[in-house]
Amino acid sequence: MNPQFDKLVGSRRAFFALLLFTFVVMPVMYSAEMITVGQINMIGRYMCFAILALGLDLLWGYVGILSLCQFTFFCLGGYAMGMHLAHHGGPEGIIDGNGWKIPACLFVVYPYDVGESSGDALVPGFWKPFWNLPLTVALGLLIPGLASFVLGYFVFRSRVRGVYFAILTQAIAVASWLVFCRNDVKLCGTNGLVRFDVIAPAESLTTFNPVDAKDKWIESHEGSLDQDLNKDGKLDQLDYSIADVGFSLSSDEVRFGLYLITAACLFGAFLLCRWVVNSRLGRVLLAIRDDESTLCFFGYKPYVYKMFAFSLAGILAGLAGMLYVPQMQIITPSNMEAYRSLLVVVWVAVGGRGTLAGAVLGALVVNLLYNYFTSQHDFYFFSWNPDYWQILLGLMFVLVVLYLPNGLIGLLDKVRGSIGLLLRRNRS
Amino acid sequence: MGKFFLLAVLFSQFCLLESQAEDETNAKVSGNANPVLIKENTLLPLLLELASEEDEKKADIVSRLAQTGDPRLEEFFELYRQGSVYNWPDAEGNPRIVVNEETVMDDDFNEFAPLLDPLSGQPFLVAGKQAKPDLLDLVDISPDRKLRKLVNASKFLIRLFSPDYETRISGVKKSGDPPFLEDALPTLKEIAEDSSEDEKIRWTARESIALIGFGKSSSNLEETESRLVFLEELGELNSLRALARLDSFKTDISELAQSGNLSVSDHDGFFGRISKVESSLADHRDSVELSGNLFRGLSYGSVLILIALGLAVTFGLMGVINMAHGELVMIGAYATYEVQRILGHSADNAVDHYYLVALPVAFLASALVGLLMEQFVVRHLYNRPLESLLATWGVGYILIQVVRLRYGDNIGVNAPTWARGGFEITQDVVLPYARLYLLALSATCVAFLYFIIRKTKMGVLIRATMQNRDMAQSLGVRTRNVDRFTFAIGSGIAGVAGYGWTIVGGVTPDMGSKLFIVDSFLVVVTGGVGELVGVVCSGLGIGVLTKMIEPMEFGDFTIGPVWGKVILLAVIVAFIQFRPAGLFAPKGRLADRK
Repeated sequence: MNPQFDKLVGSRRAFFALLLFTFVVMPVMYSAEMITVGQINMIGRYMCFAILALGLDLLWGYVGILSLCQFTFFCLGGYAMGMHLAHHGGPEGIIDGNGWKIPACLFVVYPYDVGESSGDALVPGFWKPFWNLPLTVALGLLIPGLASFVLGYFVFRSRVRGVYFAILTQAIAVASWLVFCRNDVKLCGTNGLVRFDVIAPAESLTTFNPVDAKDKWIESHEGSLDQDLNKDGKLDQLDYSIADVGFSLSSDEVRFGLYLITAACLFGAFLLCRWVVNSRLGRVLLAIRDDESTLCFFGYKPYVYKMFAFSLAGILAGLAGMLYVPQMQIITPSNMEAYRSLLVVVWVAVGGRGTLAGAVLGALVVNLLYNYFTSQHDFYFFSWNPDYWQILLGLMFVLVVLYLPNGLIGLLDKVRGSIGLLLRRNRS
Repeated sequence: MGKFFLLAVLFSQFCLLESQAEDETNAKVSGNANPVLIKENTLLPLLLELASEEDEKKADIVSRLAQTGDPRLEEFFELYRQGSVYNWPDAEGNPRIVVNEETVMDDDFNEFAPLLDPLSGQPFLVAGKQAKPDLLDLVDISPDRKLRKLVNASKFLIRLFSPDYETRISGVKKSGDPPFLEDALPTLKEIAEDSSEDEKIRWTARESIALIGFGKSSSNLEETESRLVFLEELGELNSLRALARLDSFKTDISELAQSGNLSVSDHDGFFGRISKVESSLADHRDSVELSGNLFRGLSYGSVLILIALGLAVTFGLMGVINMAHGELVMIGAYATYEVQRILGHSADNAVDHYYLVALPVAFLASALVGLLMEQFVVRHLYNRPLESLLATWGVGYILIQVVRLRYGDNIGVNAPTWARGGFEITQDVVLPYARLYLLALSATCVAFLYFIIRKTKMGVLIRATMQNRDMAQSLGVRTRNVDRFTFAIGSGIAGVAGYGWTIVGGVTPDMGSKLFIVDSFLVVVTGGVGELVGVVCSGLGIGVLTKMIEPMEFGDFTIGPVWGKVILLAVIVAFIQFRPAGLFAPKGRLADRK
């Protein structure tokens, strides 16, 4: 079933060539100033989408279940990282009664109860674990994984499948979008999480709350008033929160580093997925796609495997979200809207459903096209209006579904096949 | 295709039947829309007498003016109270009543006063030009303090005498709100006892009288007692307005008891009687809210059914997930908008029959788009539901953007005049006409579809094709035509849904994907695929359940629409655990089909 081209990308030579391109050619081009850090950053973000697409391809391409809420899991991971960044973001915000700093983005839309003033606001309990970076990373993978596991348990066990599953997941996407838009869930409402400053400050690796971190910091700077940044003659919480340094998200090195990490994660995710689909487990997944009933008669429980694939896709989505947020420097609920999750399906369909390389290719190509076509262009005979992009996207979708069931990978395959045929003919 | 047009004709015949009934309501409403103006020759002589010197006479004139009920006087009284009304005697010394609000000064510092007509507010013309006499020529006739109070009250009182029913009843209602108009009491009593008035306005007058009595301040036992008597009358009237004011009455009594003006036993006795009234009023409020929520649920359900009906046809009968269904709804709404625009209906210039013309237009517009979609996209995707979901979503995306490029982001459809207001079935339970119309429209569509599928030959062919396409084909059914027809009907009903929506909600290019599509798919899934009765039951069920959940309160937490939706979704997921194929699952051999 897998087109030849996927095997080619899977082949060692092509894989190492891509590896070389990502980790050597791109950095060299960057250091030679052929591409800007902005472009590197853009590629990095699209690589996050590629990780997301990998997860969906595993589900839709190999198990045959179409999930329309992948961006919800993406946002679960993204919000986890976003909360971590907001905790350590900038000098704005206020210190609450317990010595936690209420991040600026939360403070401006804090849903006060009746009679509560800004002095009574506290950092909500569920924000607190995200102060610590390792814990954030763990939770950022665990929460979407757990959410998809629980959802999968209820849905697959009752044999909801096919279109019903798609509709149900879309309803979930809409509901969670509505919930995240509300101010009273204390996730900053429609504004989303913003005003990030640094990532991974040293004390966020070792301590679990700012009070300990502050004490440690004051202890280590005992007596040296050069850290008294607000010039009030003593070292205190406020000085600490200003001096809370880590890797600044606006510096070029950090943005480039984030690109490298994302690329590494993308390759890792790709290898993981390839390992899964090539293992015996992968055979069962394919069997579910092709004939679930027969598999049942062989004594397998398809729902267990479906739950596994769904959770894995959820975890990959969470990972993608966590990598995306520091590069985008904002996360808003608009990412959860229903059409966003459908976009992931477009990527996979355009690239080539059922081929892992296709998912990555599709995500990168569609997003690069998006990047190109959402700005004004003057061609020879007509001028391109960014508003036409949606029409192009819709058209692309229809055409791919109707005429390119194997996507770009399938197209490349055909082209290669016909070239090969041509060469052989010439030879003979 | 011939059959299709026959049906369209049948449908429009049905609309004509409806239209007659609506024309009658139109006539009734438009009679009230323009308030009756009193003839100037009866009003002007009265106005002129305001120039008189005697205060007694002036007061008499003011109350006689108020009794004319002319709406133009409301503005006049305000001007009169402010002292902007002057007497400008003509050459023979006859009074002329004029209005002057601001003066102009010439280069020699002489002040001139441009005059306005007291009734129309237009410039006061002398020989074709606005009169601008010297300020010193105007005689000040502004009311003294006592009269000013009367004038101020008359501003509201005037509504009580208005010949227009709506103005009169709003005046009657308003006089029961603070600041209480005690001057209105005699008139209210007249209205309450006037058997020529209708029941509603007499009831409101009685309520307002009691509210005025109840709203007085009380400083001793007798006054409190009299307030309480009024309150008990309000309790008998089931007045919801009284319920909001109970708390202040209770604090008044407690304060009186604390300051020693009321004995403890009196205090307790009063509280006992108050709580009796309170509980009866609260019961009334609860039943009103319950029936209100029930109706809102039914009306929301009717919208859901309208949208899900088309889906049930394309999804249930044809196995095609039409994600562009919401956009077909949107096209119906925009077709309605176009009809409104072409026929020139607007808020000021009512062309009510546009709404009847729009019904077949919306149906046909969406059916046409549906036909094109079927021809170019859906045809290739029968029985590949997931692919059809994706491709139709792409089509929907294109439709949204095309409409947005053509019409911008927001347009307004003005409801026809007869859809404003509502019908009060029992006291305080008002059913808006627009919602009632939607209910009727939805019921009509269900009947229409049922008729087609169950009672016509086309319906037999549709069912045959859907149950066993190959067999139908080999028996000579032209399945391509059946497909086209079915898809067009489903799309057309989506258009009707959009048409119906315009009288209750806004119209935007992405209304379909934002507002309806997920909910209506849930309706189809919950109802069971391929069963109209399933759609009706689950549509009404989901509608009523939503509107019942939303206003629930737990402590100081109200569920509201967002959490309501989450809870509803959880309920549906739980429901699917027990009935994976929906309420009315297909049985037997049909159940094996995907």
